[in-house]
Amino acid sequence: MIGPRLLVRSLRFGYRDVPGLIVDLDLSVAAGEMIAVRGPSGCGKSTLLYLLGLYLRPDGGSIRLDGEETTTLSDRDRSRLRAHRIGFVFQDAGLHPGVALLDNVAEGAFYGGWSLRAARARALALMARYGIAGLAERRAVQVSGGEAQRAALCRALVRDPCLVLADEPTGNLDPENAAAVIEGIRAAADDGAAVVVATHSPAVAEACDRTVLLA
Amino acid sequence: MSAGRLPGIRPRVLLHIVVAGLREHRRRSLVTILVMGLACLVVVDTSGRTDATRRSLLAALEAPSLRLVRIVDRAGQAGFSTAAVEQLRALGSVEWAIGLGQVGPIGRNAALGGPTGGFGAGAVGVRAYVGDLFGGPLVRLVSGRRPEIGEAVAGAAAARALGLADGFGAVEDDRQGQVAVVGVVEAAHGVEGLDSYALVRGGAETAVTELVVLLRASRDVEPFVARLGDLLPSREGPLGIERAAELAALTEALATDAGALDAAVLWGALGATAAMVAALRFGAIDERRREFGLRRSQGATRSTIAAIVVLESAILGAIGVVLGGAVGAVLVVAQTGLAPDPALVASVGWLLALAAVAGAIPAAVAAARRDPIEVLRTI
Repeated sequence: MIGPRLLVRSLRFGYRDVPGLIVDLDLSVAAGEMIAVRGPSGCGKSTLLYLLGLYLRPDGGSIRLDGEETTTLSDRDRSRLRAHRIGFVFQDAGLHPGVALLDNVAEGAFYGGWSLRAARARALALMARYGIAGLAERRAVQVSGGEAQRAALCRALVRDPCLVLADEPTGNLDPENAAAVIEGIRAAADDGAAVVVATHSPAVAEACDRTVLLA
Repeated sequence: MSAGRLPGIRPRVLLHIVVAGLREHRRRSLVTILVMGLACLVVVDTSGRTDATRRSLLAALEAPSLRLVRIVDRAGQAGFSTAAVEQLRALGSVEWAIGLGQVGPIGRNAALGGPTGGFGAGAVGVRAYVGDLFGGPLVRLVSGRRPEIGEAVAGAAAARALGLADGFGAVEDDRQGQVAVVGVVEAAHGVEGLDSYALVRGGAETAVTELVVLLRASRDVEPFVARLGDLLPSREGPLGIERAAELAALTEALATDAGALDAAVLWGALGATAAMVAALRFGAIDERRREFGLRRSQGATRSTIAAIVVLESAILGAIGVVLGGAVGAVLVVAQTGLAPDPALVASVGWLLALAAVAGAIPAAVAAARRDPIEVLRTI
């Protein structure tokens, strides 16, 4: 891999009611690097993650993932990139409540062309790694917040993403579960992913290689 | 690998998601199945009963007497012959045809004798025929055997009058002399008049003055009559043509009207089904905004979301159609005693399933257009 995994240049974005939320942002994250994005509420941390996760189109600038320009891609290709290369961990796990935890985790690989069996096997392996394999058949509503967030982390990692985005991943967790989740995200970086974590937590920022401050 | 070349979801995985979704939203799934089932039941029941009634009526209207055409050469100038009978029999629309000669002088039992001035005891009319008298459903040999040329069979009434209960004997008339009678026949379905004659089998030289033609279907009657001018070798002189024309027209009208009724019921049901499925599906996707947003956030394309919604409808529609069609068919059998036409049930099923899919398309498009960010900002 030559060059950064994620390269952002002159990124600009604003909502209709909040114009100029992000102005000329430059950012570079190498493979294996984990960075924290910090700043006051409303400064655009989550919005930056949505831009990097290809959920939003920027008003200007460039976002390159493994050298490929993403801002000009079609909606379909952006979805495909998400399905294959980007893992996202939300503050609230964002699981399907009535679906078994195993299928919730495996869904992270479903849209990337994995077979059902391969996706489930990979999901189960990750769940075992994060201590929730025993809950595989439980529905998401039947597990605790910490267990749900670990499942969400597994879902983000199941497709072996090159970019992991986490939006306040420990915001709703007790210290023990928060530590497990941060450890998991760190492990993803150690495995070669570029990781961007939006957080208010100094503990999370401390686990990162560097911090980017948004005003 | 560039984004454009990355593989998408596998069909089996898509099916797995769809089935899991149907299980998760069990109540909505059951309501959709119920709606589809009821729609199919109503259409199969209505169309099936209409079809059964129509088939019964059409069967009644296809009675041989309503498919019969008699062509009478009143002046004896048309030049009908054995060849004309054969020519008519060769037509695809003709099931049976015979030619009859003029009614001969009164005949008597050759053994018993009797008066010659009228149908008194032992006296009947004698008539020559050409063609296969027994080749159709109208004349049946009751006893004895089929006659050779120059021999006769007696109609049931004629046999009684001649005193030929077993069908064997001889008849004597003033023109042909003595003719052997070798059997008794019964005539029915519009040719009952033949029962009163001793029917002598004629040959190639027999003069034919009346053609009796049984067509295969009542709808063939009018076209056949219209073509008579081309079919017969000569049409000189006045011809009397007798047929049940009004009933044939009624047959046509019945088939057309019943078909129009079926079509009206079917189109109405298709429209209503599509509308109901659309309403149900819109309700479902509104309830499932978060689910679809999450799927999009995990990499589902718009077309994957649309496929999920449409496939769900197709599966629910298929289940509803099978259940509704089966119940509808049972109802038709219970009400009419006739099983509905399987092709009709299958066609109704297919069309309703298609209506379910068509009804789901607007909802599928709406679900696919949802921006995942709407959901992500609430997570």
